[in-house]
Amino acid sequence: MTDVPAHLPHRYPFLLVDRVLEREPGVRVVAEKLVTFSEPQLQGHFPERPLMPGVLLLEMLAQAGGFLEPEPLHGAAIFLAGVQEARFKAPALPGDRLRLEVHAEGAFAGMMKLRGAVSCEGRELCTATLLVKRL
Amino acid sequence: MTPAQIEDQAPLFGDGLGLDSIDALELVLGIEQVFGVKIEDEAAGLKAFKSVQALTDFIAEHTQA
Repeated sequence: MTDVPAHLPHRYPFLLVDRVLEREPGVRVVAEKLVTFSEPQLQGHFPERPLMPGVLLLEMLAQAGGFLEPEPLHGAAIFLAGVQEARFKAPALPGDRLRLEVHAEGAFAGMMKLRGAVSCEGRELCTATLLVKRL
Repeated sequence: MTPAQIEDQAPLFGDGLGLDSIDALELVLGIEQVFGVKIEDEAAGLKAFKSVQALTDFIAEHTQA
């Protein structure tokens, strides 16, 4: 199984990938994030109605996209450069097992285009195209 | 800006049209999709993206085969 913290430089409270299920570097990644009531960001979003902020679903896809890189990203982080056609169709809630699926669309000069989808039990919650830059 | 306002010799990046690295990737993907021409690396990009004319020449050169 892929060692997530060994690959990504992100740490608590911002490491948003729990497990990598499938991984074909440069092509496709399927990862998982489990949502719980105890997530720090859900304490304020919202106290009476905890749900995962949409921007964090995009961040999850970006972090899952980090596993398209064959080598660990410590010291050579990937930064978000653009978000296109983001759609949020349903909220991610405590108890949800989120499936993060990312496909590489192409790359040029350190810039990579990814197509991503967050789903839960076969239901699509979020889709987006991300541009990430390796520095 | 309209296509007619773009000069054939104007640089695509920097001082010319002012395209950035995101535009570069979109151009690479679009050219591959429409013309089937792959701009493999930065060296090829440097040549192809010099100007609209240079890009036209690059695509013509790589579609003749």
